[in-house]
Amino acid sequence: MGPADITIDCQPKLAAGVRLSFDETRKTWMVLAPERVFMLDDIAGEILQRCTGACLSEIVQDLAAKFDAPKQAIEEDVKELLADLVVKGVLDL
Amino acid sequence: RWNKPKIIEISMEINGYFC
Repeated sequence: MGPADITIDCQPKLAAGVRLSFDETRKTWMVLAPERVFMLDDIAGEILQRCTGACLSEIVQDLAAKFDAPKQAIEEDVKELLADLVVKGVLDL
Repeated sequence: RWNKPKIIEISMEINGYFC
């Protein structure tokens, strides 16, 4: 499983029992999984907030508009993150 | 600005707070 395995029409969603939560103390987005916690930087938080059923092409389009950045670069970075999260077991496609 | 997203698994001092 790697970025190349992620298709633009997949619909990334947090796996069952996994939650996205904003930690007010740390002022950062966290992914809360059973027995595991991940801290996200701002960009990862923006990505994960959009993983609620939209397909990847919509997510990339939305991020490209918000950040005024090239879609190609965003798509590559997002795929890399999603693949990592799938391997960690906290994201389904 | 867009940057490569980063995540870290925590177990640890974060921003001055201990987990």
